[in-house]
Amino acid sequence: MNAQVVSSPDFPGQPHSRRVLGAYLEEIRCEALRMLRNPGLAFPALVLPVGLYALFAVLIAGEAIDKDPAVGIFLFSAFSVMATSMPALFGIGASLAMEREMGMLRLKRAQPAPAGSWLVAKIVCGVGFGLISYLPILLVATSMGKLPLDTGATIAMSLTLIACAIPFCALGLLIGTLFRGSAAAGYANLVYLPGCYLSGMFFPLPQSMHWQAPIWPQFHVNQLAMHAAGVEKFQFIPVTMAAAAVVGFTVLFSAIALWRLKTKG
Amino acid sequence: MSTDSQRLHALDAVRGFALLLGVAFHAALSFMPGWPPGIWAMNDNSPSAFLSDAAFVSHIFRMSLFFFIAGYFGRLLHQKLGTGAFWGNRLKRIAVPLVAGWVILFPLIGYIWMTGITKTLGFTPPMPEMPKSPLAIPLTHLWFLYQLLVLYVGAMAIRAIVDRLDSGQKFRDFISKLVVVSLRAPLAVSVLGIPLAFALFSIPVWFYWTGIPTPEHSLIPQIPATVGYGTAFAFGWLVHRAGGAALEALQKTWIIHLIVGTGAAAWMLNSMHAQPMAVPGFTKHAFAYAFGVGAWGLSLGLTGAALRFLSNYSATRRYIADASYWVYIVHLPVVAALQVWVGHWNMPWYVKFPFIVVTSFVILFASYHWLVRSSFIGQLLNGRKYPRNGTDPKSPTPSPSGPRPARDSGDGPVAELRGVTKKFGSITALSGIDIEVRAGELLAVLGPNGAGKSTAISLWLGLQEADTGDVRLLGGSPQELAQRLGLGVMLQDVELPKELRVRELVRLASSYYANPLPLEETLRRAGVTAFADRAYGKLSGGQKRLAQFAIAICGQPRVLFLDEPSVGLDIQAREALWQSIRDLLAAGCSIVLTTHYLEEAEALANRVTVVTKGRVIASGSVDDMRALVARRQISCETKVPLEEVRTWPGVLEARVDRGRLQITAVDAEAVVRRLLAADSSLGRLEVRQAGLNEAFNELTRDDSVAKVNKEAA
Repeated sequence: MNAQVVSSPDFPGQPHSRRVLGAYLEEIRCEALRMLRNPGLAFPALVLPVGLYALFAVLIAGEAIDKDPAVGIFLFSAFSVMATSMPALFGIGASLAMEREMGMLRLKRAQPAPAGSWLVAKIVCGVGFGLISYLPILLVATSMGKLPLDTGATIAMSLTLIACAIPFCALGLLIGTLFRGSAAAGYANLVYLPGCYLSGMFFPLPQSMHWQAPIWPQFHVNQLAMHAAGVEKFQFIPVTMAAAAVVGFTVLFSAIALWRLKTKG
Repeated sequence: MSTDSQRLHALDAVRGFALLLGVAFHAALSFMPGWPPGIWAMNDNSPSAFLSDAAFVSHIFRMSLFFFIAGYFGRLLHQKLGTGAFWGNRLKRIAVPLVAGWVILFPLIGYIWMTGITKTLGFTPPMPEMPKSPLAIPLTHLWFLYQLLVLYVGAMAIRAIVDRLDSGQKFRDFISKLVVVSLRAPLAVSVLGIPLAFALFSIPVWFYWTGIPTPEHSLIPQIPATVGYGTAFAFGWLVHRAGGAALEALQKTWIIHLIVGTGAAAWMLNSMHAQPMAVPGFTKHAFAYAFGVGAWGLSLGLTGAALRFLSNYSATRRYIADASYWVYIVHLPVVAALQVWVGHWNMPWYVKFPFIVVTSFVILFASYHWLVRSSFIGQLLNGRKYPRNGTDPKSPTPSPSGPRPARDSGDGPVAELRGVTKKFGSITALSGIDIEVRAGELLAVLGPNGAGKSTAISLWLGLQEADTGDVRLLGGSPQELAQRLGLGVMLQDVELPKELRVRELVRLASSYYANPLPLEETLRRAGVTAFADRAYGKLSGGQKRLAQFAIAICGQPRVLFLDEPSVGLDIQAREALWQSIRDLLAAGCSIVLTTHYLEEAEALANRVTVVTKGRVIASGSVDDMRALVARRQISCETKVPLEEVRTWPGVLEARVDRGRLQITAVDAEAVVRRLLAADSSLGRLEVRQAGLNEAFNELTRDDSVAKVNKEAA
């Protein structure tokens, strides 16, 4: 039976599209298992943002929010961006750097894996984990009454925040292709943490610092969230410009990363 | 290496893209801010500056790109059919759709335009006057077919003249070389737009946004369009003449072209925002030139990118490319009707525009699928009728058709390197190497570290591309997924995700293949059942290798690449692995195995190839190789003169080194016996087996190599 199968000129079996779909699903499953079984990643990504949100927005700034609802939305957005971007950035960046070092990508390219299936799996898991770490914040915010938005705006904002994991997936990809092994997580912090503060995401920046805010992806992502929520007080640039910047960052980061992968492996 | 037919897939995809982009372009035109009513069917109540810019950018290149590809395919078709049949074909594919399409579509388009303009203005406008000149026929968007016919006439005329003047083809060969050089440099992008720049600059009233004014109002060829699209067509024609080298150059320079094109487009957008209407002066000159640079940069860049990334066959892309011609021909009434319908909806453009695009594509592709693909219309437009319930055609041909690479028929070599050279910087890893793996055999590739074994394997796996020469796997290019579906692979120096269990890893690898072994069967054959549920990170070195072996065999590969499979295995595990390999061979699998261990080759191989310094230095049966490395080193202190020893049978080489006689011999026992007989005072005798590395090193400067090669041949 084997001889027959082995020597047949075409490749019978499952139809092409179903096999490819199966391969994608399997890849996503394995990636998710890896992330879940890696406590070094899962724990800080899932617990840190909601913990910090509860501390700052509920305990420390609770009264300010009650006075000005826009502040509540502002803080909610800041910690939610943190929640959705961290798994994308660190999950993809660190794991990709490690995989490159271990030759896993070489093997995958040699195998008949559908092109880019590992990448799709990483993005899906990055966004999925972003969602998992975002939901507790949403739960805390709505149950404590710190998110004064109607249902439509809440949904729009949630979708925006979750979709905004994608540029950070691209950034993770970039870092994962530029650095090797365990160094990647350090470099990811180096570009991520300053951006959180200098983008004015956590607190409004003084006038003299405004010029540099647009260079951080966090700024544009946050702007999109502000537009989705309809908070005019914190809308500094038009929605199309923010969207274009987010798309631009994504394309730029992924282009450099894919080019690096192609040339350096 | 790419074959011609693979390239046609890529170019077909580009043409399809240019046409489909046209649908989105027209869908954007109801959202243009500041357009007076009547220019387009509808003026939407939510205009968009963004769509205006995006439409302009696509307008820069989409038709130039189309005509560039049309020129390429034009020459291809002409070469294939000859002039007479070429005209027959073009009349059927281009002229008939133009006439029939116009007759059916024009009334529809006219009706929708009137409805839309009425809706925009709030009253019915007067009917437009009938054109006074008989040639002033409103061609609508079908002008491109007419323009194409005009260009075919021009091309045939120029061809006839050039044929007469340049009978030795010297001039044409020179032009072909020029084409390749100009693409490689890449200078073509800065030169090709110059004729167009003159034509654009001489337009008296020129709104920058319109770029090349659309020649849709008359059968008289318009100068800017004929110059711009004619250059594109001619260059496409010349690129086809210049052959593979031109396409390779395009493929290599895609990113530069795209950057140049995008830069030109960005500059134009910027200056257009400042002043939308051309005023004679520097900016008008610069804009006219930038338009050419943008058109060529984006066209060449997109073509190069497609050659780079879309050369493999994809059923989806094939379908879309086939559908695109029909979709573009009939799209205008559909798109315009939708624009009129949604024009007054109280919604922003970023909802309405995607709605129009998506709905149009759904309607257009559905009409293609059910009305065209399997009917005479599909036959007319694409020269092919697909069976109605036909699934993916197994041997697809891009139109105009070229042969698909033949799949392996079973008796030829399953993997080949022919004259392959591969350099990494200044280091030559492989230099003009020829290796072939025949169906059903196990070829052992032996050689010291750095010999080029792993490079050879990675070429076969499609991980790298050869600098020169031909790499074939299962009758095709290893870059193609269809070919790689038939391979299994176990690489050196690869670690798998430590969090995943062996079972999960094998399941993942199995999902890539069309016809994998049942999971349990793979685990059993590879001998990993006992630790299948342990995390990979917790396995011993040998168990890890076996897990990798399981991944290599799970897809029932027709050719299996094993790079140093038994490193780190204990004797028992190695025996088990060898048995699995023998079973695979018995089932008809071909295997390429690299190894340091001669005994491994002896145990398994049908043939052995020895590689050193990027060359094959010996190849033959295991016995041939055994003879080569059976030589031993004898070393002693003796009074027997060197000259005498050299004459003894069995002595290959003898020299004196620091007072000791060093002999390389094939029959060491006989030589030692004779030495002892000749010199009873002989001391410090040592006899040792020459290591593989020594044997290899020696082989490189030994003329016995040629002998073995000859025998093997």
